[in-house]
Amino acid sequence: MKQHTIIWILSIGLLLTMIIALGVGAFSIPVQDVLILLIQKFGLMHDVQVDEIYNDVLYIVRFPRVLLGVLVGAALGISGAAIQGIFRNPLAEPGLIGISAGASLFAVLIIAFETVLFVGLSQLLGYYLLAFAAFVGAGLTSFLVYQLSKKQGIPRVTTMLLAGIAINAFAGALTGLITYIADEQQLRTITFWMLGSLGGATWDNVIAIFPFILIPLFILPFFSKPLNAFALGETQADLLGMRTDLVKRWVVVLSTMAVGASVAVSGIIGFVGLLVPHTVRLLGGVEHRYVLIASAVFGALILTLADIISRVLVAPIELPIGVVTALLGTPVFLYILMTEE
Amino acid sequence: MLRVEKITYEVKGRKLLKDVSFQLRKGEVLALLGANGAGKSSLMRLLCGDTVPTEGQVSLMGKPLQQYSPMELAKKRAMLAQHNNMSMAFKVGEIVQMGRYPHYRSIPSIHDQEIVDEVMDVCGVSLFTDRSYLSLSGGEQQRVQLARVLVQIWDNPDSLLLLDEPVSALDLQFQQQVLALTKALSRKGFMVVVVLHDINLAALYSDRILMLKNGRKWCEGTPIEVMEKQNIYTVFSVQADVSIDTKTLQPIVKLEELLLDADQFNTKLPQIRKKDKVIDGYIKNYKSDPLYRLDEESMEMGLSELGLLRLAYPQHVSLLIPDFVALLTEFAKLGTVYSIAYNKAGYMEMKGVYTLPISDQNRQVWIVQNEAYRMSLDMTTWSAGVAVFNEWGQSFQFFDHKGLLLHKVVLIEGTSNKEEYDGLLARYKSPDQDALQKDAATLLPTSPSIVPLCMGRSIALPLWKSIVAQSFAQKTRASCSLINAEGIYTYEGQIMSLVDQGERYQIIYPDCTITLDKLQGLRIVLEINEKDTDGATFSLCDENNRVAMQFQIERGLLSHPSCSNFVLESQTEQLKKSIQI
Repeated sequence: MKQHTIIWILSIGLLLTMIIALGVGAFSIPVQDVLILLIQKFGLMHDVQVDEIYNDVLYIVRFPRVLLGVLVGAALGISGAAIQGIFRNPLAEPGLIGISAGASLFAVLIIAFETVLFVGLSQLLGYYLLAFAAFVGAGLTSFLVYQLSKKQGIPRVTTMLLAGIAINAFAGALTGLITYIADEQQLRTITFWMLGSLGGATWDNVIAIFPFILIPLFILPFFSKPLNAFALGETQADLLGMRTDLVKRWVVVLSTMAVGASVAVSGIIGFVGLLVPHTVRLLGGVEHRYVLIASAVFGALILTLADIISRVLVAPIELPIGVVTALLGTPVFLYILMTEE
Repeated sequence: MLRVEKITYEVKGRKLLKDVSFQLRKGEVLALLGANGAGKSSLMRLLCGDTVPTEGQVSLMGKPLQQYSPMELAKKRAMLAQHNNMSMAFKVGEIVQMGRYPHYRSIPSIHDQEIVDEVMDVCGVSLFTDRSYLSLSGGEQQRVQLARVLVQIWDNPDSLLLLDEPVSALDLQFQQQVLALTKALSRKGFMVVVVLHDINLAALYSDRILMLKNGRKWCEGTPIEVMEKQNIYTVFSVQADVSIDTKTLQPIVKLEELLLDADQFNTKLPQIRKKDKVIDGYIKNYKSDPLYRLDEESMEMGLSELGLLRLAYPQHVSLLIPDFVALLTEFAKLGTVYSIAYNKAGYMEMKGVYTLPISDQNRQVWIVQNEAYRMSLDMTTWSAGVAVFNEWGQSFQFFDHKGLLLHKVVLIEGTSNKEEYDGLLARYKSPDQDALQKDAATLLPTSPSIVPLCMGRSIALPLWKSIVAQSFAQKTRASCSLINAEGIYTYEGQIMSLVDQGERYQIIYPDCTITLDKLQGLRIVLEINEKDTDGATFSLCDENNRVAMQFQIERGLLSHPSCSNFVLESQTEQLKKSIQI
C-alpha cells in the first residue's frame, strides 16, 4: 500500500471515529443528530429540529473533549516517532528523555503541597496551576537530560539515553517519596492524574495547549530528511551535511513542547508514543516523512478510540484513559512483536 | 587536490596520529595500510572533516575542510564507514536515495533519480530496491552503503571518495568489482583514499600506498616502492615473501604460515589433543625434511615411520605386493638412483646403479655389488614396501615389521628411468591398499637379527675422529659399513670430505654419504683382527651393544703421531698393546 494512501485511510478513520466519539457517552447523542448539528454550524439545514440539550452537550462537553483527545494523541504519536528517529531505536519513547517523569514530579509536588507552599502561585494561576507545573516540569527535566548528554559541547545520543534513564529514576524516586507522605485525598488525585484522563477537557484547556501542539505538528515533518539520515548513524548524517546537533536540539524541544502540553492537561497516557509509530512503520515503511505524519493521525485516532472505550466500557463510570491504552495496547503490541519477521 | 599537512590528532593525551603529511592529486587512488590501531580510521575521520586535527590541517581543493559549510562539504566528499549499523527497516532504494540529500530540498530531481538508478545498477543492488535493508546479507548491505556513498558525489569529479575497508564483507567477485570501480572512477578525476587489509588488493588497485605504523607515516610510494619484506614486517609484524608478477609488474606478497601450538595457550582442552598435536608436529617435520627420523618416544606412542609416511601423504603412498626379491632384481632397470639405508644411528646414501642380486644360498642373503659398494640384504626382514610420489620425488621404501624404515630407492631427476618406475609400480602395486591400515599385525614376521654384537676395546670419540681425519688427509682407502636389521651396506673409497657438527657427523665419499645423527650416544670400539694385518676396524655401537656402523682403515694410520694428541695416556698404552697384537 502506498504511504499516502495509508495516511488518507487513517485520516478518514479519524474523522469517523471523531463523529462517533461526539455522540457516545453517559448521555448519548444519535449519530444523525451529531451530523445535523455539525452541518448546522456551517449555516445549513436550519429547518431540521434537534433537541436543544444535544446542542449543549455536543459543544460544551463533547467537542472540547474529542478535540483534546485528537491533539494529545497527535502530539504523543508524532513525538514518539521523532524521538525514536533521534535514538535510532524503535523502542524509544518521549518518556525516555524525562518528559513524563518531570511532569509527574512537578504535578505531584503541586498536588501535595499546593496549600502549603504554592499559595501565591495558586492564586495567580488558579485552576491551571497543575497543568502549568506539569509543563514546566516536563521542560526542565528534558532540558537537563539534553544538557547532561553533551560531550565536548556536542550532544551524544547514547549519553542522552543513559542520562534519561538516570533522571527518570531520580524523578521517579522523588515522586514516590511525595506520594508516600501525601494524604488520602491527595493520593487519589495523584493516582488519577498519573493514570491519565481527558475528563478535564474544556474549551479553555484546548485553546491553551493548541499552539504548543500545533507548532510541533507542523514543524516536525520538516525534519524527516535529517531523521532518515540519522538512521545511518550520526556520523553518516553529519557527512551528508545534516546539522545533527541542531536536529537533536530541535527535535527534543519540539517533542517536549507537544508532550509537555499534553501531559499538563491530560496526565500521563502511556504506550501511545511507543506503540503508534511502531505500528505505523509496520503498515507502510520507516521513511520519516510518512512515519511522522501517519503517527500524528494514527495517534489521534487511537486516543479518540480509547476515549470512547473508556467512556462506554463501564458507563456511567469513566475509566482512566491511560489504563485503557495500556490494557488494549499491550496485547496488540505483543502480537505485533511476536508476528514480526 | 587533497593536502594533508603535518596533522597530529590527540584524544585524552594519547596521540593517535603524529605528524602525518601527504598529498593526493586528482585521479589517484591511495591505499592506506597498517595494523589494527595504527590510526587508519582516525586518519579517515580527519580526512572527511568529521573530526578536527589537534595540529596541522587538511585542505581539499586548496580550502581547509573547516572552512566548508557542512552542505558544501557533503557535495564534495563522501565516506563509506567501516561499520554501518541500522536498526530501522529502511528500503534499499530509500537508503541509496539518502546519498542525494545534500543535493535537493524536499523532492529529488530527475537528475538525482537517474544517478540513484545508475549507481544501484553499478553496485549490483538494483534488484533489492524494495527490499528491507535489514533482510540483506552483510555483503549486500555493504554494497548498498557503497551505492549510497557513490550517489553523493557521482556527478562531481572534483570530489574526494573515502572508503574505510570497503571490501571487508564482500565475496571475491565483488571485492574485485568494487575496487575496479573505484579505480575507474579515479580515472575520471575522483580522488580516492581506501583502507584495505589485503595488501595484494592494495598493490593491484592503488596508484600509491601509504603505510601507517603507530600513528606515524611509515612509508609512502608506488606499490612497487613500498611493498617489500622489511616494510611489511615493520608495519604488520608478519613474515612475507614479495615477488614481482611478470604480467602486471606489480608486487605479489605471499605470507608464510604462522604455526601456533594450541597446547601452549589452550590448557582447558583434554590431553587427548596432545597426541594429535604431536603427530601433527611429526608430520610437519617429516614434510620439511625427507631424511627425518622418528624418535623412540613417538614409536612408543604407536606411531611408526610407515604410519607417519601414510599420514603425511595419504594420497601419494601406494602399498606394494610383498614379493621383494623379484622387485629387487628389477631395480637395475631404474638406472642411476639413490639407495639409502637406515638404522638408529644414522643413514647411508649411495648413488649408483643396482646390479642384479646374487643369492647367497647359505645365509638366505641377497648380494648387490659393484666395485664401490656392496649390499648384503636379508630380504626376510622386509615386511612392507611402498611406492611414494611426493614433493621429494619418486621412491620405493621398505620397512621392517615395526614400521621402521630400512631401505629406500629414490629416483634422480634426469638419470633415473621414470618409465621403468611407473612400470614397476603398475606391476607391483598391491590390489588391497588398505591391508596395512586394517591390521598392523599383517606385516610379515622377521627372522632373528643379523646385527653383530660389539667386541673389543672402547676408545674416545675424538681419537676416532682424528683417525678418520687422518684417513681423509692422507687419501687412503677407507671402507664404511652401515648395519641394520636388514643387511650390511658397505662402501669403499677415498673420503672426499668430512662434516663435523657435533651431534651430526658426515663422511662423504664421491658417490656416498654416511650421516651419523647421534654420535654422542654411540660407543666406539676398536677391533683388530690378527688375520688381517693391513686393516683396523672401528665399530660404532648403540646402547644395546649392537654394531650400527663399521669403519675400516689401513692399520698404519693408528701409529701416526698426530693421533696421540687426542689420546689419553692409558688409552695410548692400550692402543700400542692392541697394535702389537
